[in-house]
Amino acid sequence: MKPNSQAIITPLVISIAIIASMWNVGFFDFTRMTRGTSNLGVFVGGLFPPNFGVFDKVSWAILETIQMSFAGTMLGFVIALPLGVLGAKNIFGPITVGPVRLLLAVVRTIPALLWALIFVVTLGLGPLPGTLGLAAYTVGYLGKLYYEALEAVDPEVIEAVGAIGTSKLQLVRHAIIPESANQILSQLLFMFEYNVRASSILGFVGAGGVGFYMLGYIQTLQYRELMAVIIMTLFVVLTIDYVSSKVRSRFLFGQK
Amino acid sequence: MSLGNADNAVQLQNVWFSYEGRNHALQDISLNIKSGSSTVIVGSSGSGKTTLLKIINGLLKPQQGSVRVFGIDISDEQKRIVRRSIGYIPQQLGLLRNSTVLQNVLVGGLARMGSASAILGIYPEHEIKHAMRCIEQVGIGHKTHERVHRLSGGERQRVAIARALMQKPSIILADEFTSDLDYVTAHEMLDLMGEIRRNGVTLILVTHNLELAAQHGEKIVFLKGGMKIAESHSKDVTEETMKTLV
Ligand SMILES: Nc1ncnc2c1ncn2[C@@H]1O[C@H](COP(=O)(O)OP(=O)(O)OP(=O)(O)O)[C@@H](O)[C@H]1O
Ligand SMILES: [Mg+2]
Repeated sequence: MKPNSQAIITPLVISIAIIASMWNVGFFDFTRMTRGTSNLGVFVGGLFPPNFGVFDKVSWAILETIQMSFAGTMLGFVIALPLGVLGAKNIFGPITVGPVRLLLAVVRTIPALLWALIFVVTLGLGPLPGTLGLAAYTVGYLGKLYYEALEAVDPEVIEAVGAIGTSKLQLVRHAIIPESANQILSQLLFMFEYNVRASSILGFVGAGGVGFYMLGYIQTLQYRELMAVIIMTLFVVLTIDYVSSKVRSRFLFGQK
Repeated sequence: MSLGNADNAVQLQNVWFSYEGRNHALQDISLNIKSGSSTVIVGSSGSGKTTLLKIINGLLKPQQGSVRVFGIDISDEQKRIVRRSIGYIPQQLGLLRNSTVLQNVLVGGLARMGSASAILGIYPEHEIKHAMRCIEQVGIGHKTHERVHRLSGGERQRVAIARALMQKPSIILADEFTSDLDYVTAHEMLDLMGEIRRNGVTLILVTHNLELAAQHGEKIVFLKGGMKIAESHSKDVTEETMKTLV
């Protein structure tokens, strides 16, 4: 195929795919869409003014959410780092790397919410299953980011340090991890940000945190209280995102 | 030093090597390098210089032929012990860029340290002292706690030498040691290497700078297309013959 005909066909195929997908999910069902839009208007109207009378108890729930995220992220990290090492092709052979990557991929396919649900079923309600759910998802996600970061270490560094006669453990501990330390820390922070966002919804399945109130206010049609929860959550999430991204850019700064 | 005192530091016999699915990178190389001597390997780009160094330190295994270091065949079981005594300075140095000079140099001593330092990163006091001495010796004592990515090219080269010295090496292999350096710095480095050699370390340097080769090697080995095409004492080689050989 000539390059200029490809330049027409590729966008065309993509456009058709977009329109077909929108059609199939019901985007062009106009009566439904107009009804939905007016319902949305009513709903949005009901959200105002937000009722901050719930500030105290929601604050506690948000604190719980942050604690869950923190504990879940750190627990996941402790497991993800060794798995990342075992999954790095520049450290281990295919016999180790293959199964480890498969395991990580499987863990990653299940979203945090579903993990939380699984732990709620096995352990009962509360922040504990939520924390474990976040940890599980963190393992799958961070493990992948870590083997990629470790593989990006300059092969000549590995060769040079290996040529000294170091063991594999020494090589990982003293060359590969220090060389990717900035990535490792920055991705850990990223994961924490992600988990703070993800965890606010875990309460929907009874896994603790602020989501419990969100769901409760939706079910009892207390939209003004719901709006207060959303605003408070948004504020906290944005603050954490901001601080964390500042810290992350400091890690990555000064790196070659 | 720790490996007995065989006359030959390095002995290659009919070594053949090819990278997977490629033509021969080294063909039938035989080479004796005397203990305590200084050898320069010259050859144009792609002639197999780096490959030869990696064969000597065991990073690559020859498909045919034997490699002995101080009389010991570098078979799998022995490799680590032999490797400990070979300082290897690769073309791009292979330093830990985000670590300090001291941390980099300490890595050179890892092979003789126990698992406490392996896992916890706690180094014995005398090893830290030794590392400091190596850093002093290469003249960058004032940069001990600086991170490598903030050093100049010449300073990095010194860190790589200090890391090799930390191994308490019997042999130092250095690849394209001076190619990224200006004239003055290159000569400083070579003087430093000369000093190291006077302490009894066998030197094998790779370069394509003929002038440096003539000034600093006792013996010059010429490689071309993976073959050793000549080998001579530097005092017997004129610049003219060099140019025809390379
Ligand atoms: N990792 C590799 N995989 C495949 N072929 C390689 C590899 N490394 C080197 N070669 C090939 O082997 C031959 C010798 O390479 P080598 O690196 O030893 O040359 P060199 O003399 O060090 O060259 P330079 O002066 O450019 O560093 C070259 O033809 C090169 O293309
Ligand atoms: Mg080379």
